Amino acid sequence: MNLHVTNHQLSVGSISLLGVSASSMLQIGDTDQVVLYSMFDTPPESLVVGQLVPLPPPSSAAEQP
Amino acid sequence: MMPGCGRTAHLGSLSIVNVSLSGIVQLGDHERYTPRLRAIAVQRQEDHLTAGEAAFASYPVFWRPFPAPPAPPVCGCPAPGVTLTKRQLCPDIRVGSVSIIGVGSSSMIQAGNGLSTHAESRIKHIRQFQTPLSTRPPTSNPHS
Repeated sequence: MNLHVTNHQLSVGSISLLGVSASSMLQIGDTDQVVLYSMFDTPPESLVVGQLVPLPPPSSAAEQP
Repeated sequence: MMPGCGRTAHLGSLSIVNVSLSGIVQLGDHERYTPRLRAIAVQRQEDHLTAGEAAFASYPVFWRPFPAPPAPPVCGCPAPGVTLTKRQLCPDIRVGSVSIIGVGSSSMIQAGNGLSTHAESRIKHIRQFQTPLSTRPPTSNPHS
């Protein structure tokens, strides 16, 4: 696949951001390839209100590769 | 990077309050940038000394493979490769001011050109709180 890009004039007054986090990027410039992955795991069962149980040890993981 | 491939960035001002957790602010070019972040955010109503540490190997989110991005739609090409050709009609990018409060978690602020960026982050949140005594169900006594 051939991708032709023609860049004309680019002029920006101001950029105002609160935050850039978790594998994100702000780039003022040119790039060829960008791959950004982010897994954020906060399922409902991650909030446990009840008896405190120990965190699982690594040996109890069922899907160990 | 090949000279003349990218444009020159002109910034009037750059204002950043906080850079943390392997965040990067780069003024200039880069070739490859591959940050990886693994984080377990544990909030428990118990001390780490008594409750123990959390282990990355206990949670599949830290080794589950990322889904592959879909291949570019190319008809009749068994191994699609992308050939990128750029024409720069204006040699620079101009930005008046950039104002950012926070940069963190393997993220990047760059004024310049890059070749390849591959960023990965895996974050797991765990929160455990003790049930207050007033909301606990009454324990049933079979002998009563």
